[in-house]
Amino acid sequence: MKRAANMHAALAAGAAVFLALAGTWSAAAPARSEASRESSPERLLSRMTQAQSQLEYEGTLVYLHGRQLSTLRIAHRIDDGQWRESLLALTGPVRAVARSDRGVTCMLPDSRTISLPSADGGSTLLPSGPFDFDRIRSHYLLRSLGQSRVAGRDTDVVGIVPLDNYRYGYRFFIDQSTGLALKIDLMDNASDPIEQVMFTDVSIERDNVEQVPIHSPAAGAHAPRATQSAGTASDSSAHGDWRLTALPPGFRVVMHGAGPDPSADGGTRHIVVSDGLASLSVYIEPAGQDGLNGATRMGATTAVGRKIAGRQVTVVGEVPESTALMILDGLQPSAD
Amino acid sequence: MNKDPRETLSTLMDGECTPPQIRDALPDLLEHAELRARWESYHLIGQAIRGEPLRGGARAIADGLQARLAEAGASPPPANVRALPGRGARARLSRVPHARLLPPVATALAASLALLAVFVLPLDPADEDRQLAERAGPMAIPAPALVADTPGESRWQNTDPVLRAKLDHMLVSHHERVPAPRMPGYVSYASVVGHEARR
Repeated sequence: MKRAANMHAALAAGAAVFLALAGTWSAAAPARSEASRESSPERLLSRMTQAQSQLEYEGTLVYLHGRQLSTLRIAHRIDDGQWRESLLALTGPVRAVARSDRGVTCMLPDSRTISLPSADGGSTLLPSGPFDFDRIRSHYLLRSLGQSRVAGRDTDVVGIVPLDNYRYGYRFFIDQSTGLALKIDLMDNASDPIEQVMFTDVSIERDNVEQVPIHSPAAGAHAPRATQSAGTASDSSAHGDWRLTALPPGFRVVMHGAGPDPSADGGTRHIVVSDGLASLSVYIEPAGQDGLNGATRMGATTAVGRKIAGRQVTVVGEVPESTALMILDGLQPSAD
Repeated sequence: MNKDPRETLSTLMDGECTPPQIRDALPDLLEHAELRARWESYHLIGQAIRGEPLRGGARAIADGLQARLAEAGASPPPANVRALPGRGARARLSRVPHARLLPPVATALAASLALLAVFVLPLDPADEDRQLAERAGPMAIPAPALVADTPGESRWQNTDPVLRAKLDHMLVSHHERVPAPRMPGYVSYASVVGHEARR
């Protein structure tokens, strides 16, 4: 209880700092337009999600993490209802990703090309799913943070502030004309940005042609779609031969099934846990596989791992390390 | 793609593609196994020409290296992973020794293997690839860096290319398969491809 009280106090302070900083920043922005005053954070975020799947765009992104800055070229195209997206690093070693509704192919410095088919065969899975605001509001504050300009375009800014230390916060800079997110900041509990992704130039080809409308999200209509076996919110739910005995508040299993076989020997189990916004994957590899022993991170992505009952278990996701550790520590073989 | 895909690939690797060319070429390049292999080959040659650390994991060299290093009595390269704090099994695992310096014999062996990989092994060994490497003249290959980037600058803060590749695979799978509400796709993958070791 004491720990929870301390956590809430810290969170309240963090949220206050976050909003204060946001307020200071937004005060320098241009005056709000009549239209955006009527736009709730929920409406803006829903519009953003729609725009992501409906618009064609191309541009240059910068990715900032700590003192590292990378430049990326992105193209998102829709042909005959089928979307394709490519992302190419313009700085450093050549790294690239090509995605479509059929899956993803990724070229990275350390690995052979990673090719994964879409989880459900590509028929229904969108590049990004809708938000379940009822669920998100249980663990985050949603705030309009005014307007700003990104890549020469006017944006509405929405903040999502976590109510505890188990998750990160976000700032979305959403293009007023099209709904496309032009800048996204991932914030830690001290309201400092961990990662920032921003367009420096963008061409939106369907701009003003097929504008994505602003509409009210239907309450409760945006439950996440599970592509495999759907889990429950139980803290001790069983998934195959394994049980998750401890989940952070608000997190629940949204998918479990066969994994991508990163070991190439088959038999890897994959469990996905989410709070409606943040998510992480638990990979349980076959006996005899080695892997991460400890904790590490890449940008905002945390990875923790160790052997449990002779199986290599790795937890990966954009959550604080303590959240990933809690889930790792709570994983037990069902046979126990 | 209108022109020869191999020519497009070379243009892309040289950084001479225009944005529309990138948009049109990249998905096709990544979907064809032969072009992907050629890309890896170009990539490796480029690293060697620039005297950059060769990332063996990309070409399955790492497994061979580790096996050979083990035969030479060396431990795997130090994995710059923090041991989890704490209790029970975690504490026992954290006591596993893993930070030893590579002996000179192993370092020389690593250099030999990497040179072998560049010039001899069939890594999609198109003749023009080798000719390109040979025309580049002497290459300064920092042998100790063949199996380890500078600590703290690597992907996943880790010096083991095999482990990094495994974590990359898990991360890509995570982004692709998570059915929960997500950020716009480019945000997730910007973090995947945005990270690079310092040159």
